[in-house]
Amino acid sequence: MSKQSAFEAWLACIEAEQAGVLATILQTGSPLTDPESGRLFISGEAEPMGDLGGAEINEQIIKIASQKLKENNPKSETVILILSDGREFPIFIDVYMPPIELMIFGAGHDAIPVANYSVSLGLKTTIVDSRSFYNSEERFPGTHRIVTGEDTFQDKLTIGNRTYIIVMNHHLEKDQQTLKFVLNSSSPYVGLLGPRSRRMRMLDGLKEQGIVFSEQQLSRLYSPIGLDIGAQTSEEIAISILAEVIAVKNGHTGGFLQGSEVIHHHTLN
Amino acid sequence: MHENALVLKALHKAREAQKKSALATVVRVFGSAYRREGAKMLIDEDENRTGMISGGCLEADVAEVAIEVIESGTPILRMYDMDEDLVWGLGLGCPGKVEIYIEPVS
Repeated sequence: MSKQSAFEAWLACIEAEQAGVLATILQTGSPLTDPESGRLFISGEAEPMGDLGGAEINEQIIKIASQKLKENNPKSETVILILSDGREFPIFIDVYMPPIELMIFGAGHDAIPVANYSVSLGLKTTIVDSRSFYNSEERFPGTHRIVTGEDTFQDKLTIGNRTYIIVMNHHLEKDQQTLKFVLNSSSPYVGLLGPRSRRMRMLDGLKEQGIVFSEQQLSRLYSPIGLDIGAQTSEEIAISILAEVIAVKNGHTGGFLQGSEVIHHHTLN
Repeated sequence: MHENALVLKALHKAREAQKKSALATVVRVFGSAYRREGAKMLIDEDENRTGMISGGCLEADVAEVAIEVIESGTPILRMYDMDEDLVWGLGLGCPGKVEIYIEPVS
């Protein structure tokens, strides 16, 4: 293992918003003579950096870290590693996952609170709308704006498995074209504003054009969008939508915690 | 997620001002707690704090411990039992325990 700074690599990874794991031996009792000892940084991008004190311990931690980097929703945790010679080490495995991206289609008035809450949650927030008058920095501070229409989605938009999508154009044709594009992406969440009947109308319309989606593709379509909190104003609707996004991201189902045995549970995804 | 970036920014700032600091991280949670494993707070030598490691109950105490850590250079692993009225006299009454690792960073 190289002696290059694991901690610095970890900081750089957070700065660059790339996934990474920092493993730290929880050592106490004596001053850290070398602040870099007992640390190992693992990312999918480069070779591990640092040293936990031996090949066996490094290998075991790299294995755990690599596994976590493959998970959708990995959790940081302390593991107690027992080496073949019987020595035990408590090691904290800290997983950094970059913020998810929330891509909002439609820059209408009701998208403003959605974008605001999204930005304050620390999500990378993108607004897609061809109308530059609406899709502006003044209306959507702190967001990334892509002024483009359906015809150029293919060239202008990148949707990955950490891009969460909200379709709220308030325009049947636009929503339909948007759905056609986004349901073919690897996005884990496509929320569609509007009632069930409207969704059916759009999907039926696409079907007539010969465009049919698989069960798997449709399982990511959340429509009607949002958690059932009786939201009425655009602010309330935004809370309902963002609450659903957070629930999906964390692998939870939403609903009341009232009477629950536990608040946080381990999820399988 | 967002918090990691804030803590990073605070660390850059402390470094620029040539201040020493300590990083407090929630490393283990037993039962219920406001923050989970990985939550962080940076404390500089002037006791400026960035980030939260609990719902506001532990920050002040951890910041004091952090000053000790900055001075001694020795990391401290501390378990907080949120249900111990005797220790806090606050009657927090949360049924959880939280273990926090406080280490010097430079």
